[in-house]
Order: sequence, then C-alpha cells, then structure tokens
Amino acid sequence: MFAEVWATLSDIFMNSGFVKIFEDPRQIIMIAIACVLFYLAIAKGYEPLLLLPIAFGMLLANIPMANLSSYAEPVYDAAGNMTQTGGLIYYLYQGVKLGIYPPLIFLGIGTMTDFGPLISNPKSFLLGAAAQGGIFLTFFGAMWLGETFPALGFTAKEAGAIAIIGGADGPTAIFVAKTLAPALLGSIAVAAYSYMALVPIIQPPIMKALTTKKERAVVMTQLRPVTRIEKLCFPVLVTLIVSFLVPDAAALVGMLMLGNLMRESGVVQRLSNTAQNELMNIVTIFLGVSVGATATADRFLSPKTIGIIVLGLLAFCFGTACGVLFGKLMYLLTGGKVNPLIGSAGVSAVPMAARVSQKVGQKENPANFLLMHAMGPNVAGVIGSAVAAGVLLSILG
Amino acid sequence: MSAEGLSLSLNVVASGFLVTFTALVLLILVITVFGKIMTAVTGRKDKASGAGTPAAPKKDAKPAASAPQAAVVKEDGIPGDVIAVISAAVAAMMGGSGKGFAIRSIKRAPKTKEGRPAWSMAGLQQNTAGF
Repeated sequence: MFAEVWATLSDIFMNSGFVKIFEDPRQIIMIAIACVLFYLAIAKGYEPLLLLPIAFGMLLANIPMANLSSYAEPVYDAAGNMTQTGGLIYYLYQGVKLGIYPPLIFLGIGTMTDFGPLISNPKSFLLGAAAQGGIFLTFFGAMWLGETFPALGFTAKEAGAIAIIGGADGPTAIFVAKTLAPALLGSIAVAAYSYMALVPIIQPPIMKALTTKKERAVVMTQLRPVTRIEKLCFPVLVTLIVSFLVPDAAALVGMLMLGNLMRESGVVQRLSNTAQNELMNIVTIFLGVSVGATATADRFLSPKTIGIIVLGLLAFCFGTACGVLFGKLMYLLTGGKVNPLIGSAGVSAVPMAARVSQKVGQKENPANFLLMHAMGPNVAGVIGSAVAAGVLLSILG
Repeated sequence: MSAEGLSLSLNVVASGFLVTFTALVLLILVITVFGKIMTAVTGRKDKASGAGTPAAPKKDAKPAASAPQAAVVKEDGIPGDVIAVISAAVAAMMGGSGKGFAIRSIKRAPKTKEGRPAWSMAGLQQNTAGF
C-alpha cells in the first residue's frame, strides 16, 4: 500500500514541471524574460494593456507539460480521430493565425480616432507616407544582415515581417508577421510593443539632431473646422481608394474605417461603444495572450531574436528620421509654415508619437501647440502602415 | 549582398515607397477637392442665411448712466451671452466683498506675443498640460 502511494507520488513529481523544466532549461530563461516584461508593464507602464497579457502568454507557454503554447495542436490518430485536444491557447491563437484579431482591434481604433486634423490638412498624408520609409529601409537592412550573418539567415519573408515593426503599429505588425513569418511572431510582437512604449525616448534625439532651433519653434496656423459630411465621407473614400489600390490592406483599412464611420455617423452609438470598449478589451486579451504564447523557448531564444530587436530599433529610428526629413522638405516648400517636428508623428504609435512632437516643440516655444497638427500625420501613419503592410503581403506573401 | 537579394530588396523598397505614396497622394487629392466643395457649399449656405438678418450694430451707442446693461461699452462681435457670462463671473468673484460694482466696458485683451489671446493661451495650456 505504502509502496503504491509512494510510486504514485513519485510518478506525479517526475512528471511535474519542477523536474521537466530541467529537460529544457531555456524555459527558465523564458520565464525570467516574462517577469522582466511584467516589470516593464506594471512598474514602468510600458504599453501595459498588451505587454502584460503578452508576458503572461509567454509565461504560460513555457510551463513544462502544461500544453499552453500557441502551437499545442490537437493530435489525431491514423483514422483521423482526435486523440488529444489542442491546448486552450492553441484555439485562441486561431484568431491570430486566421487574421481575425488585428482587424477587430482596428475596428476599435477606428471608433476612437478623430480624423478631423487629417481631413483639415490632407497634406499630412505625405508625412504619414514618408515615415513608412522606416519599413522599407529596414527590409533592405534585414536582407543585408541575413546574407552577411548566416547565423541569422533571414529569408525575404522574414525580412518583410521584421521590417513592418517600423510601422509602429502592433496589430499591423502581427497581421503581417502571422502570414510572412509565423515562427517569429512572438519576437516581432514583443519588439514592436516595447519600442512603441519607448517612442518618447527613441524619437526626441533624432528629431533634435535633424532640425534647427528655428524650425522647431515654428508655430503652425490653426486648422480649419471640418464639416460633418466630410467626416462621414472620409471613411468611405479611404476604404475605396486604398482597397482598390492595395487589396491586401483592405481587411485592416476596411475595419478601421468601419469603426470610424460608426463613430462619426452617430446613429449606431451602441455598436460604437461596444467596439471601442468590450470588443476591443476582449480581443486585446486574446491577442496578447496568444501572441505571447508563441514565444516558446525554442523559437524565441535564437540569434534571430537579437537580430529582430536590433532591426526593430533601426526601423523606428529610420521611420522617425524619414518623417522629420520630409517635414523639413515641407518646411522649405511652404516657406516655413510647417514645423518639421510633426513629421515624426507619421510613424503611427497613436497618440504617443503626436505627444512627443508636442513636447519637443514646446521645449523650444512654450506657447507652441503642435498636438493637433501632429495628430494629422499620426493617424495618416496608421493608414500608411496598413498600405505598406498590404504592399509587403502582395510582394512577399 | 547577392544579386538576387539586392534585386528583391530594391524592388520592395521602390515599389513600397511608390505604392504607399500613390495611395496617400490619391487620398490627398480626393479629400482636398471634397473639402473645397464642402467649403464652397457651406459658404453659400451661410451667405444665404445671413442675408435675411439685420446687420449687427457697429458699436453700442453711448449708454445712459441709469441703465446698467446699456452702460457696458463692448467691442464689435462680442455676443450678449458672452457679456452675460463675464458679468456672472465678475459677480461671483465680487459678490462676497459687500461692495457694488459696475462693468463699464468689455473689450478683447490684446494678443500675446505668441499670437493668441491670453484666455485662449490659458485654455490651451490647461488642456494640453497632461501631454
């Protein structure tokens, strides 16, 4: 009797995580990384809404024997009967794999976004386009790095998935990465959200280095008021034009604009409220946990992750620089009416990047209010990064 | 970099920039034209609705000393409800002092050196302080 109990207990212990974790000690490192991300999300407030569920997903995925990674597929026998169901997060992950969550997040973003500053000053679109330079230049860098350092060995698809980090837009990055490089999804999502949280640290030195004191002090004229009919037609026009030109971007842009039309129409307040609150929150939890659970030790702890972290930072820097330089061009062409600082907001990262433009501008001139002017390129950046994502998917997908 | 890799990279960079700019420039054109049409339409509507109303008085005539309302000299374009709000604010501040008060004139404060009126500046400062 005692021997049987002892055998059972020892069997339970030998199959527990306390023993199994030593079969692959890299999982201990992954749990430690998850704890660092908890610290960043909770203590430092870095994008906590997504970083916290991502970190927890990472933690769950690296618990031995728990079968909670996004890759814990169901098992079938030769006759096609399911002998073991997939893990919980495997099923949640289907929303990422099938490209459902990112467009739903875009729906919520649409209901929360006021495109008024962009409609009022449509030239802002140019800054939103220029800042996407970070994506394409990083693609070049990733291809070069992959060929120069064979340990990294980035394929063209992987280079495209890494480059999209420069769009500074989490759902877009996930949308592209799940198609082009699903194995790198965890690293790309963590890098994208971490750098988005670090925008106030990454951008200002680049903005200051590329502009003069005089340029930073430019006070822009007040934006014209936008009529309701313009706000109503905007989402329809953007959907048609972007989707006709880049059909691969239609899912993201279409849902973004559906959300915005729901907001501006004022006739579906209930739907708008649901999209920006309950739906957005539910999808954020599912997206965060399942993306975090893709970061298993064997996939995350590789030289490629280091490459992704370096290239992601470069992508943000390139994007900021391209936006500011295009802003300088507009400053010259308009005879000093455009403050080049608003160009950096074209990288997306709404509304953080616009706040950074406001802060840097106010340091030169405390009476300068660039916030609404920067919101134009900022929301144009969301559309721009969705277009860039569509281009990458259509060329590389 | 290999010739194949270089060619693919250049293709992605060039076509990426081109398509992104094309899409957004198209949007600029459409939205600008649409905005111009809307401005013209709303301008015409405003004109039509303004034609029937009598012209606003240039400047109030010298007020009679006995009528406290008329005693206020105000600048053009300051609507009555703004005068009422200012009077209420002054009354709220002076009410407890036990002394009577009279508002003799209301005029816009000169613009600050930053090009905005002082109240506008104060409002903006307050609303964007969090950023």
